[in-house]
Amino acid sequence: MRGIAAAVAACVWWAAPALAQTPENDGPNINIARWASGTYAYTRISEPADRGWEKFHMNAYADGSRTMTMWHDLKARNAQFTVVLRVGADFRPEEAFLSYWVANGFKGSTLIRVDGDTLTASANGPAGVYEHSRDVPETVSIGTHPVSADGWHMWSDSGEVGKAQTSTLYSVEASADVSKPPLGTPIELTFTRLGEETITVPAGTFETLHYDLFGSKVWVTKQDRLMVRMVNERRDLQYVLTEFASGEN
Amino acid sequence: MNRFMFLLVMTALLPVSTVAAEPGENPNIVRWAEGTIIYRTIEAQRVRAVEKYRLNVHPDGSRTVIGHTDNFDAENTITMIHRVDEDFRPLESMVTYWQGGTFNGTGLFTVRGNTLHGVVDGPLGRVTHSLDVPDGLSIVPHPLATDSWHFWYYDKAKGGEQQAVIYNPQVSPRTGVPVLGHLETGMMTYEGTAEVTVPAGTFATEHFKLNGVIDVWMTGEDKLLVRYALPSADLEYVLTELTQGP
Repeated sequence: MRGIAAAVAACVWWAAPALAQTPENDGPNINIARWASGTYAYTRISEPADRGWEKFHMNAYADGSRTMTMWHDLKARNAQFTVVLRVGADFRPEEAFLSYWVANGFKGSTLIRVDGDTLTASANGPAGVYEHSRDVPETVSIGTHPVSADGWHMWSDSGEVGKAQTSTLYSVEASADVSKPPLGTPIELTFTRLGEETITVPAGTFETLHYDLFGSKVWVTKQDRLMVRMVNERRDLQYVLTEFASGEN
Repeated sequence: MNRFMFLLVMTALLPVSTVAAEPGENPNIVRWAEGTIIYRTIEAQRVRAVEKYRLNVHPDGSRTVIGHTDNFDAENTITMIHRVDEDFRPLESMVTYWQGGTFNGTGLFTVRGNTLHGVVDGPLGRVTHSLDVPDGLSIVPHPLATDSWHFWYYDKAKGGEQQAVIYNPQVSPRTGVPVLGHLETGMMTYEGTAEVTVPAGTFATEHFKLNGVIDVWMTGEDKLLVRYALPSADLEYVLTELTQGP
């Protein structure tokens, strides 16, 4: 950089990215086709115990891909996760970044990338730096543990009602043991489409797809597969959408 | 599927850890703040963008910000997770950039000691670099929420103009690799304290300048951005909503 003019130009970049490069746009942001934001309450089914909450913001882009930002306060487990997950137009994962605090402190951050049939992950935290690659099939999803995007695990749904289907879940290690890096393991995931159902939760009434996700009952919106409600009776847990806003550009 | 696999899958799907549940607040969140920042012109007050963020302060003093910006004026969309240590020195910053309807890429910039590692995945494939960086360093993920943290190493006792070094990821470069950044320098000065009123309220702030032309007002121990102004370009960025806890 030469002189104050260059320095000032640099600072304009700090403040206003792309300001000088593109004409001003008075209309909606052309990158964003749709968006949605929401809040979940984590409770028990049997009692109104407040176990925590989760918030999300999703952008659906013009090419059909989606970015989900999620953050939770799972105080019942003294966990706090922050996650960005990107998927393609068909919901197949492209990448994720996550940062986990667990009961024993900071567990680490992980960058996960899916390129064709190869998943690579790099974790950085108190356990050190760990990297690995895993072969993954076409029908793969990434389990980062906030529930907002758990409807995306069933993206390969054939639409057939009542038939068990399988896919592969890359499930990220999220225990309180900080000596274990937050890297994942591909495991088989079984789900069954139970049908369509209109359900009412505190956030409103939604037309949903209803699934059994290996013992959990889940209801997700149709277009963006956003979680509306998730119930696991065996573990006496439920996750319910309590606030919701959305829009189209 | 046997019982072991059942438990493994359920552990995978649900947000759990191996310790027993504890009552009370989450000890991993010492403080938090949620805010909205509006980008607008100063003279006409024309809104150009909306940014929302959530800050969590952790028990070791480190901070995590998750944020997203809808900048319809510049036709960019940004998502970030930005982490700094208790002194506000960056630990890592993850960003995704869309510009003009095109995905420019995802970047992860990690600072370890005096080395910054950058990894960018985008239309050009994966590109990486490593840079030597000074102790006094900040990163500009480009959402404004963390632009009040560039001054964390300013020495008030010394005063006067002091050098700022930033790592600046490129939102929409005309040349080079999108998202990948480079080091830039500037000059910062401390202008004192001031009471500033914005739509989110009236705040006791500290006031810094960058290169004599950008004014930044921040409040509290988490240096929350209250107002950022570039009068010569008729631009300002103001806090319009703020909630804080515990």
